[in-house]
Amino acid sequence: MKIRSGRDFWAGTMFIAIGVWFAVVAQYYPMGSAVRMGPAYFPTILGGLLALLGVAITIRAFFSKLENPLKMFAFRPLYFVGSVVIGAGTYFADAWFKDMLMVEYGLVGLSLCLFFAAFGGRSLFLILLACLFFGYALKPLGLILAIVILIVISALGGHDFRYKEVTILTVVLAVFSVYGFVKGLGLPFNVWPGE
Amino acid sequence: MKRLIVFALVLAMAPLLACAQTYPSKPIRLVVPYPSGGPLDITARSIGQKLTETWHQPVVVDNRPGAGGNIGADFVAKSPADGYTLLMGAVATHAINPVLYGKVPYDPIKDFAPVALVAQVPNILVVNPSLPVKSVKELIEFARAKPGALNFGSGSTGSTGHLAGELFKTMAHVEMVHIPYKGAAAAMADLLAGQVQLMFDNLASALPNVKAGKLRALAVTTLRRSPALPDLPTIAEAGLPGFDLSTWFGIMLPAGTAPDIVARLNAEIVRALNAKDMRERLENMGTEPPPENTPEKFSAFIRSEAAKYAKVVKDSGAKVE
Amino acid sequence: MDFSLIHNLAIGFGTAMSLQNLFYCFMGVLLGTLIGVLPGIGPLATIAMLLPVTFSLPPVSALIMLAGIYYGAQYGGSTTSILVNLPGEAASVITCIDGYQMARQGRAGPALAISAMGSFFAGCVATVIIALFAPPLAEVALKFGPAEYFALMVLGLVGATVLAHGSLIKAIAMTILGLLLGLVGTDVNSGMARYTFGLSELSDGIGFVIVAMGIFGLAEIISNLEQGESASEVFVNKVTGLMPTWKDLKSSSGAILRGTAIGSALGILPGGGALLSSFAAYTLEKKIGDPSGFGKGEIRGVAAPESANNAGAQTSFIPLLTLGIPSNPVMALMIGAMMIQGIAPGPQVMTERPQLFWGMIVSMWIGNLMLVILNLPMIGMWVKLLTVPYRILYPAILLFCAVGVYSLSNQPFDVMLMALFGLFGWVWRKMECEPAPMILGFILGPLMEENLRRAMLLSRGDPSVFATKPICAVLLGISIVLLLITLAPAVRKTREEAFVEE
Repeated sequence: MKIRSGRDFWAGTMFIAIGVWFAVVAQYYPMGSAVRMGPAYFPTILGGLLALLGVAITIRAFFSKLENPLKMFAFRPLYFVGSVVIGAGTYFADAWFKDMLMVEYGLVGLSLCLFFAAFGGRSLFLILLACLFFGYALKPLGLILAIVILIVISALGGHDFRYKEVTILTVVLAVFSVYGFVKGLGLPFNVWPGE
Repeated sequence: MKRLIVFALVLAMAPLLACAQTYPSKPIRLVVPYPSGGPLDITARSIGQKLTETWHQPVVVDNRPGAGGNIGADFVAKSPADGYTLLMGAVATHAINPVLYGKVPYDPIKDFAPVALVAQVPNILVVNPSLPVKSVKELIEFARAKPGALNFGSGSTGSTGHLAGELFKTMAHVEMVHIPYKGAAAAMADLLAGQVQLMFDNLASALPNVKAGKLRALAVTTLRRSPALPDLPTIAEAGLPGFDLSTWFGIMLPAGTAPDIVARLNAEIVRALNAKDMRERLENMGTEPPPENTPEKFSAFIRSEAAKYAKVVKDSGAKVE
Repeated sequence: MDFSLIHNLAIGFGTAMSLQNLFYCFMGVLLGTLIGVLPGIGPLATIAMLLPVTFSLPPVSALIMLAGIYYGAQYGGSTTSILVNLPGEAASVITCIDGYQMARQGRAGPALAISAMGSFFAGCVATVIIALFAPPLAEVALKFGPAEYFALMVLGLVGATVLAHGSLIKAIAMTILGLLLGLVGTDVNSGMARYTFGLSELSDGIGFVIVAMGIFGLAEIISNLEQGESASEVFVNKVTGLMPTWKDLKSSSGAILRGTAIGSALGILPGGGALLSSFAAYTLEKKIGDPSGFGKGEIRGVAAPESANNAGAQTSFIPLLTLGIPSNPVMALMIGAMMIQGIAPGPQVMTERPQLFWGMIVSMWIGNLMLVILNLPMIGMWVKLLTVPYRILYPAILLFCAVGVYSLSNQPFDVMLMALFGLFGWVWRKMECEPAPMILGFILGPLMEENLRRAMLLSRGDPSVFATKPICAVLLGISIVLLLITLAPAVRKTREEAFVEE
């Protein structure tokens, strides 16, 4: 039996995994009864329903009239597994890191980067990385430096990195942001590092 | 040699003195641990504006909502104690949540230096007019005659509206079902529709509908009557002596802030609160500027409230995981 | 009634047409449009920031300006939905579906124009409705209790599957996925935090803006980049005219009327009504007439939701002005502004302060007029913006997304979450799982569960209440019928594949 529709196969499998996960985690919460529903009631039913639909979709993948390949994008299972292991490990071993917060944050960051790198290509990784860095750089490095990081990294994710354009764009956006967001809208960003 | 040491010490102290004297020398952040729009947020912005006018340094309101106020409170608790990060703390963050949640990531007493109480707003017991009760006594009788028949709404589990109801149940020995909503406005909508029969709502929010006759007001929850409704008895007067509950909020600094900064802030805030337009705004909320507003009194107040709510929450059995 | 209406309108015009109020109305709608265009930064943050400014203004002017910001933002929000597939708020999600496709085909101009025109028409009609029927409509709205809301949400969710133009079963699955994601956070009815794993940033759930920016915005950018060199031609450079053609106008006119009707009706429901309006209008349009063009740039798919959400935005003032109940957080802020000014929002505002009530209503009409005058000429400018090479455009879009998300609660965590959802959105695209049903489930899910459990609490565990309450029963009945209609053809395999082949 050949898997005819790769898309459907993966979609179905994903739905099964997500549905099961939600339903299982829900068991940690009180279930209640049908007339007095607890917090776990709804998610359990929905999770179960999702898993069932996932099964249906997966089965349909074997009989679909439309064919798509099984390999949809470059998936790197090693990175994926690594990211999940590091992430879960950091979460459960949270107490160990009491005095080593920087180490813990570093590991979480690593886990995220691996997760981003586990799927697809360069563009994906760089765009997501750019956002991640931007968010965490805003407080310590200030708005302007964070913008530089964001624009440069995301531009690297494209195809046509032209130094002059990127520089001009960064400057324009930085000026706009300072005047528009900070001075104009009063959003509480610090423009320069520190604080 | 001694003179050199003294001279060096004075030199070292000078920047500290200079700092205290020129405070504030940069923008101040006033953290509001709730989303924009509530009475606490609005009052914070009013005060912020007044302080900005006096000091010519921007006082910027920073909304950090979440976890019933804990996120914002935690943020300030861990901020540097230089006087530039303030918190608009409330009964929720400093008295209710520590007990309700079991634990919070900050210590409401030790991590903060209280500056000034801003407002103490009463809640008001309102019922839908279809309910055939006209006083607190009648309500208690009705509730005793039909245990479990009455529904009371609140803005969220653990809000003062909820806890007022629980305290009422405990003190009056009646059974009522608590119906939590996402926000007091949603609860009010269902109260007007009659889905729930009563509510312990914020006075300012409930007043218009009371005046329009869409709701019947039975009593206020504080020990003193409200100047906005001087004819309305307090629950304590009307049948449950000792009943005292209010929503309060006030400005706090992280613990360890220099006492003169605390004193300066207190003086300025008290002045702002007593300005004519602020007084009017507070009156519109059904309250008035707190009398004798010193950091020490506020601190003592917080402690007594924390103790009080510890008992209320425990007796009610309310809990948030 | 007639005489008093004219008398009231006269008061309204007298108040709203004063130079000062016209000025503040204009400032409000201008600011609102600009804010709406910036993805992620919504009217809430703006109004919050402008609140102190309004303290010193007379109350009518203050409210006129704030209201202008609110519905002005609706106009601006559709601009980004159409141009770059970024919905500014829940109501604009639907516009993305066909609006963005139109932009890609070089028809951004007609999309923007129809959106403005439809919104204007809807705004005018809605304003008239408020003027005539505000108090009785408010009473009707009160009849909607938790059971009725639940039924409405169910109807909405059943209709969610119509949003998809691909595989039906995957659309249902995505809807359920959205429902589950919406449950992350603190459960209203028990106070318990679900699926937060101790992260306080998640205790209030995952913000809609975060999910939307990620799934619609980031995923779109990444997909475009992956298509290689041709990505720089994301938007067809040859723009086929800035204005809609006669054909467009004719086919949209019905859509606009229907959208206005639905939006006006749903907008009066405090708590969840207006959200549904744009999507309900889209669903209705797709069901009526020829559904084939939807999802590929069908102008009716822009006209209907846009009219609906503007009508809904206006009519959602009704609970505020008549009962003092805010329908959404923005209105809660306005209530705060009113209270500071000493106005107690509630039933007597109409009688005790007619200038305020009627002045606001008339200024809403004026505001809509100003908006259409502002927006139509700007279409040319927006369309020119699209001709900027994509390699320059997308980092800017990314910046606005990131800033917008960060400005929600100043947490880097939110930006990280947006990136994650960008990843998920991209993966889902590869699997041909559509985001629109998921977003709908995400919005409606928690509301549905909350109301279901509350209805059961109030009925003390008696499920028959859903069948006995009239409005609720009717809505549930319609849901079942709609479900059957949708599923029936799909049961037969051949039709199922026809869906997939689209």
